[in-house]
Amino acid sequence: MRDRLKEVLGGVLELPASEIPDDASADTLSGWDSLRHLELMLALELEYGVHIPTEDMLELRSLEAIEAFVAANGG
Amino acid sequence: MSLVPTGEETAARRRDGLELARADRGAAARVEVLSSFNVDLLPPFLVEAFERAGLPVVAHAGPFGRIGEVVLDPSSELYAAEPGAVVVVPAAEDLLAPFPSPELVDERLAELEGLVRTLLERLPATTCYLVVFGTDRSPFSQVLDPLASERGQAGIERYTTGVRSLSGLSPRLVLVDWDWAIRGAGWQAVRDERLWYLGRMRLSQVGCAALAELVARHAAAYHGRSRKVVAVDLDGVLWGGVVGEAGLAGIEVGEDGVGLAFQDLQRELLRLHDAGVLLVACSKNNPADAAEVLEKHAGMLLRPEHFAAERVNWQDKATNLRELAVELDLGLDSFVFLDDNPVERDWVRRACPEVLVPELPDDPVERPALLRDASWFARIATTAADRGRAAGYREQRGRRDLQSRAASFEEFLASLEQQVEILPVDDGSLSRAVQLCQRTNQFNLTTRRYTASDLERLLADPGHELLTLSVADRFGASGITGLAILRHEGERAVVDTLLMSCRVLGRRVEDAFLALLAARAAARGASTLVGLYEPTPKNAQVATFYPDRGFAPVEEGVFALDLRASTLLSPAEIEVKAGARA
Repeated sequence: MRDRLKEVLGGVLELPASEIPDDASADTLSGWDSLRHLELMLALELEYGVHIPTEDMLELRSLEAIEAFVAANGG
Repeated sequence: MSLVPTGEETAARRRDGLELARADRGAAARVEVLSSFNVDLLPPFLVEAFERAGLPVVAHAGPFGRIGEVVLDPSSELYAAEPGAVVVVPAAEDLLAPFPSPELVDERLAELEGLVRTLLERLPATTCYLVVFGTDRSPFSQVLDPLASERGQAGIERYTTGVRSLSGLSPRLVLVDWDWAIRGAGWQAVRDERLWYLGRMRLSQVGCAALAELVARHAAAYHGRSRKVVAVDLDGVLWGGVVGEAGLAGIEVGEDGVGLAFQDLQRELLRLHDAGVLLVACSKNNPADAAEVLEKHAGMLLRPEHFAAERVNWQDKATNLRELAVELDLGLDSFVFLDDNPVERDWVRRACPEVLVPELPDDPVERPALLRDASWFARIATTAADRGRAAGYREQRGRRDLQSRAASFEEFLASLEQQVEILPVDDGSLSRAVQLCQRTNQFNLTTRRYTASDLERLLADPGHELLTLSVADRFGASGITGLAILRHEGERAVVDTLLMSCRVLGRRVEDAFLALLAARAAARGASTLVGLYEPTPKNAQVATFYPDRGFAPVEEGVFALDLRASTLLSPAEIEVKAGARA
């Protein structure tokens, strides 16, 4: 699951998945800006078939948080 | 192809667009987006959609909500970047807040017109794509009467109508009517409320992909990339059933039932024909059977005179299409081929990959809409030449018959009673001149693909003379079929561009045109007329055009004629009228 997430994140940020650390977050990964963040949320919805409400979009700012959300929402 | 893609298609287009943007593409033009709302998601979709339209670009979205500031500030990034195209997206909901009163609408429209004028003036080589961006949401839809002032609908409609009416401002202004185009799929399909609240984006990613697609279709049409010929199969396409088996009375086409779907398809083809798209038949059939239907069947809208050429025989269709291309003097990349048989479609796709072969729905009732919505033949506007094109090909058949009866070539020329008219390019002929630059392949000495902005620039320069050629004969008038650009450089004059449509070739019209250019050059004091030939894969037939007419080779592709020592004579059989436009 984490590897697939990194693929999605890497696809949005135009980075190889292997260069994304497990503790990646919008605060630590350069390039993860507000525009990329929105694109990431949309890519996650498409990849996992989930719907991310607006408040959650604001909070899912780390790989860890995203993983937890996707797991909890049956993606 | 539908304007609004699926989520998966959208994701794939974004990936492709980003990949293209990363690659080094030296010749790519820059597209700059000025929008009243956040369009940061748009650039990769623009890059991808333009690429599919054969136009390599890089795209950049400027700061949103600041169209006026960016356009009015001469030192803004916009002008420094010298974009090839600017896409302006002034959304009604942004400009007309808090309420679209008629006064506010008119004020905003006046501002917008001023901004577009400034933009076009400061970027004299740039094309501006102005998006008509209304909304389906009236400010207060609880009031149901569409004209009630508190509902606000009338103001929004006044705005979209006003934006559309800017269309005549300049040949470099292209209106992109998003408001109309999105009616089919609906605004609901292109919105994402979360993106509005989190990022002030009025379009979802899918919406951005759709807008990019629409702008790219307009750009393709503006740059003359549209197809020119529709080749149709007969049985199963123009009518239901096989005429060879069912007979004239047994085929299905007319006002009743599914027959109407076949007739409606013909109606769409007739519209294309009237707009200048050439219609040709390409069918495996007995010629007599097919001719009987075209001439006699009461349910048919298409008649023999609508076809510019036909191949009704038992040859394979790829061979037929190649022959048709030769007969019409057009490339196979100008063709769209409609056939109901998947095997034929597949064969033509393999044998002639340049031909566009759309999937034709099995159910004939789906087909008229397919043709109506397709953008294969899209053009910004039709010119008089477009409307007369099919008639021109019919007249051409008449001339061929006459030529086969005449005893000598001179006699044939004299019997044609040709009149040539050569006039300076003006506002009325500019779009036709651009079209000729974009389309003419074979009789084109330098193949310079000038756009409207290029020609406007040359027109404004007194050192350049732009002349159109029209030919009329006893069979009819061809309209504007030739263009020359003469550059006066004091002692010498250079023929920068000389091109003619194939329809008027081989009748010595080119000699009349060249003789007039020589006379113009001499009148402006030149002693030498310089002709250029720049080879392309398609213009070999004019490789020796200048040497054949007494020009001496100077260097590779450059020929000179001493105007003091020699005179180019205009053919005596052709009456030439030249002068200024009224």
